[in-house]
Amino acid sequence: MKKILIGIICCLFVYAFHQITHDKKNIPQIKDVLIVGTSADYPPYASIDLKTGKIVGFDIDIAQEVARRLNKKIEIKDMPFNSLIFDLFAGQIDMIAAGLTPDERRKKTVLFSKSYLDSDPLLLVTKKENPAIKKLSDVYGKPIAVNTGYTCDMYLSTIPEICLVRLESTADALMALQADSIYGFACSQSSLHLFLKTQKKEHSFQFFMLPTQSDSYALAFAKTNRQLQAQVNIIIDTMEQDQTLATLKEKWGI
Amino acid sequence: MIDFNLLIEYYPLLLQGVQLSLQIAFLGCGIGACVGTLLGIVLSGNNYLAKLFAQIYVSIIRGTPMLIQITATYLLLKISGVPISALWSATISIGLNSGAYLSQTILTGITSVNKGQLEAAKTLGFSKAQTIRYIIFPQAIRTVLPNLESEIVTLIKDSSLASTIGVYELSNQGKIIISQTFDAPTIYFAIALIYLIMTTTITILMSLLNKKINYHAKS
Repeated sequence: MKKILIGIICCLFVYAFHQITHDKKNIPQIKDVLIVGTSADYPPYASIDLKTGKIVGFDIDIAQEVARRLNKKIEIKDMPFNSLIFDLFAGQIDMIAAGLTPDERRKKTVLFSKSYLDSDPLLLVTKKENPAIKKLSDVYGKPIAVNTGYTCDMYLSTIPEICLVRLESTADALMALQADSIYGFACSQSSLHLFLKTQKKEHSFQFFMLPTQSDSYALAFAKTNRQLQAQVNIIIDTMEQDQTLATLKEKWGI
Repeated sequence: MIDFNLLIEYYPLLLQGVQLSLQIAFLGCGIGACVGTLLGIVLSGNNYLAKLFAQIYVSIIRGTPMLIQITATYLLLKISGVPISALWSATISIGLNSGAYLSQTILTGITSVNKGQLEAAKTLGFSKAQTIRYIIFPQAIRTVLPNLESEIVTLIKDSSLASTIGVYELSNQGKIIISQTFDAPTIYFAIALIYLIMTTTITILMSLLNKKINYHAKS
């Protein structure tokens, strides 16, 4: 009995040791690696390919292109959206590529590159059987879902009349909308693509464009990393000129 | 309601999650057993300073939510620049957490041994280590094992909290699949079933082990 117990404990320790050393090998020692943080729950910008298990998406392609032009290897780290900026601050990642929208509050803590996408309108999705929304005040007092920390959250938070329901992901919010536990869901247009594609029948939703400027996305760097910001700004300019951005947008259907 | 084709398509992803969940639970329990034994011995001992520190540790861990502990450990390790993966950070904080709970179980196990026996051991010239090894341990293990079982079961379920710092364990894998297939009922049903299978298996195995230990005690 004792021998078995000791054996099991030894096995666990050996396994743990093996895993820790294995993990260490994966941490790059060389400086020419660009560590990019993303939150892979936001298709088509960043999501995990269910077939291959790799992180793919528009943001990821942009980051990869940036790394290629910087002559650096890329390492992508997936983490919850809310801890991205903290990781940048703690120096665990060099760059955020997660559809981050530049806004004044965030600019106090991080540096933003030029935006690589700025024509993603914000929509309010409601069910078709509800009356069509003419103006934003039509939904005052009704429960409207947003994804925590996303652009719609920040925009609608400025309007106190709206009852916000903050949910973690697009899928959660759409599920809640289908189950009638919320009245509407505010999100950017492109994040709805995948959902509408997976619907077998004709969908039963109507859309209302929010009266604000469209969502724009930029890469973000640590406050101290002005050098990288300048380099990436030049790269984004050239990517726009040589149509790389346009090709990538087409590839992901944005 | 339940789309079995979806499950057939994505079950390998869920199984990957199962592996990580079990890894977190068992390694966490291993760390917990070590920390818990140490704390239990300290708490039953006579060193007041060590006892005070152990008591403070146990009250802090038992008085704060595990979710906060997991996130805080991860963030603190990051600030201090330790290049640790989310998986290991979660395993360590879950281990430290279960250590605090197990220390109470182990303390009960130790104190349940009759004082007369300890005095007898002293009279017979047993050293302190020998007393622990031959007198306290065999009796304490019988009190501790049933609790260890419920601890592992709890840890398997609690491993889902590691998803908050981005570990791809079972429930997080489920969330990822849902974020792309938008079929929450199927996936949540499957995940709940898998957790149930894991915990039931553990319960059955541990009750067999229990029987064996108690059998030796009776004969």
